[in-house]
Amino acid sequence: METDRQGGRQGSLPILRLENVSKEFQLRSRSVITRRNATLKAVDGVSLDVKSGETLGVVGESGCGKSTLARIILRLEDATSGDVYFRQQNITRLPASRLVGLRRHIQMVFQDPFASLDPRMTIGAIIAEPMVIHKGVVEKGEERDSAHELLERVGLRRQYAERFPHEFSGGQRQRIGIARALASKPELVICDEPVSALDVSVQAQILNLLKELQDDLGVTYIFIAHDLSVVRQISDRVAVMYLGKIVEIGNSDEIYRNPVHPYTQSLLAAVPANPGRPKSFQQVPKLQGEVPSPLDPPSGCHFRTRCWKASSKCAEERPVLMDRLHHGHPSACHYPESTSVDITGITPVGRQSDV
Amino acid sequence: MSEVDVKGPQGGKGFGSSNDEAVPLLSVVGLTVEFNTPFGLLRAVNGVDFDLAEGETLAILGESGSGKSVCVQAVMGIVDSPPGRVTARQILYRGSELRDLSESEMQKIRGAQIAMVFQEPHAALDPAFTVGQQIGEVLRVHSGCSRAVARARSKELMDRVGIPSADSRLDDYPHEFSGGMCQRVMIAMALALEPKLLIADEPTTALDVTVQAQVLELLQDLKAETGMGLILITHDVGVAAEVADRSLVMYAGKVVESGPTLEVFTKPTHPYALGLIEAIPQLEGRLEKLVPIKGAPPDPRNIPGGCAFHPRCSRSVERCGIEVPELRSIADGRSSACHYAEEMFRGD
Repeated sequence: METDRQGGRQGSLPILRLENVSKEFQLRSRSVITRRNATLKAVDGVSLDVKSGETLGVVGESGCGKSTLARIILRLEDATSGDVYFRQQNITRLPASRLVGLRRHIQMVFQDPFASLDPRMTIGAIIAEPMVIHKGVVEKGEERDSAHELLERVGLRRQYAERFPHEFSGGQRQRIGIARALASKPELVICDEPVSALDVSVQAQILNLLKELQDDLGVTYIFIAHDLSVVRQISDRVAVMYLGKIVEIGNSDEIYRNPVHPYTQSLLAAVPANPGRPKSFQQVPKLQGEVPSPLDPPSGCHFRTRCWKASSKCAEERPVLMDRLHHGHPSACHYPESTSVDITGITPVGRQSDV
Repeated sequence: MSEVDVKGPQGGKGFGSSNDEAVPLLSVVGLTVEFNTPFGLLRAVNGVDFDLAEGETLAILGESGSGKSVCVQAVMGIVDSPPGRVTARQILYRGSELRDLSESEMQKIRGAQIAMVFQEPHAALDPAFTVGQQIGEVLRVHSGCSRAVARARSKELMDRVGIPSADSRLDDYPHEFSGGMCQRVMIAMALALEPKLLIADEPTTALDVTVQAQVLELLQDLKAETGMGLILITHDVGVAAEVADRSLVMYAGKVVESGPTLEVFTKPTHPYALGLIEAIPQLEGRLEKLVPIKGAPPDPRNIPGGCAFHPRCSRSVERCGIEVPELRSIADGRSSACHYAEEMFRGD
């Protein structure tokens, strides 16, 4: 079963299934001389399952298509090809009139807590709005009380409902953004870089809050971020993307301890180690150059131009996502190799005493 | 890659050269920066002291609003006044007081002696000029060399910072470069006159992790090659640990802890430094729960009395809200501004 292959929990049906989803953008050059049309493949044949109640982390460098993927799932963007199923229902070509109904169940937490809240609305109104739009989530007339409850649930005081966004710090605004996302009682919440604009000391508060809410409400998360340590902390499974494709997907522990795709390995090797810790994957060559232009991706394996293992086969044949090593998680590399690190005996910093 | 001698036309000679080994490259004492705002006086930096030895790398670490950027802007003399007001007991560069210099003398120091790299490379470059013109301008203004010489040196510098096919890229505009490549252009500009001190303000924050690793490696290589001092401003403990010999942790405009980087973050003697370490998720494994610091960094217009960190501190007692803890030496090379630093150092 495909879900098992990707390291998903067995048994229950996926809440979300993507089958071979692609998104192309047509770009037109306005210059008369160099007039040519180009196609940018932001998402390129992505298939994955998300199980109910889990957190799927999506990582990759800027331009890898992780945010476009989120927008396709929310139907803010229409897929060029492929199918998206939400609770076994194909939503890829759901008519616009039914999108409101869909978005009651799929909500989003945005990156910038300063830009994503309407400055002219009170906090109470911001949180109550989804309950007004999506009739039947709460009894009519109870939106206010529910908004108050939600405020407390995300760790803010009830009295804050009368205030405006500018009165709050970045961390508090992100709590408000989360409360609003949860107001319509969604089953799936897509978090797009929810902590990257926050200070480290505040970031941990939000990560803990998201986890608590998941434990209490059973909500499913797709967590998009570029910070690999943050994704490690929150995710049950992780998908690594490169130029619109998933190059490796599996259980979080598997991906972080035993990555087999050279891109995943070099991504992990590039993360600065915390003070006093050994750096991970030191044997992995340092990645040279930058992500190639998605307008003109390399033939075959997209990663081959930066890969130290690349052979002629990589230029000719595009590696499909499969479990070549029978390790339990698939990767899209012709030459996957285990590089597991021995992390037994490593305890988290600053907490030697209580581990 | 061609071997380039990164020596500027004026070398590093002239101003303030000193043969005395003991004179630090930069010595700042009692630096305070205030801004008059419509909402009242904002004290962004409040009595900061630090030294930097020749060839040393110092990380200034802190969260947004901690005053880390304003600190170095004051050293560079680029804080607008008004609304800003910089006071200090001393800002010595190689033994000479920078504040005694006129603006035109200071302009000669900036770039030639002390250079700076900023966080947003796209915003720091002029979109209307090619990168070749912009690197060349630095050389022409400071050394008065011809366009042709400036162009040749710009190409050498671009080669040195790892920009592929520098020859053709000289004539490209900033928008034609990726973020990482723009940052390399900025570094090339900063190095054009072989400064003795490079200040990098969050140089990798806007970059992807693999590109960040490349830029940090480049900075370290260049430092080893030229022997320049480096001040790295960052909010990322991992980045500080990777490059810095010593670290300075700032909170609400003050230094709360300083010392050798590894020691500071493996055995912190200030609860804020400890809190920062504990709040970071680990790459090695998922933690049951992160240990966040409660609350949020204070508004610089309204900094709590006593120890500024006390409302967020788990060790805070009554004394902390009243008495301002002095930054003092705790052990060899280590300083902390916590009433209980000695206890923390002993492990109580």
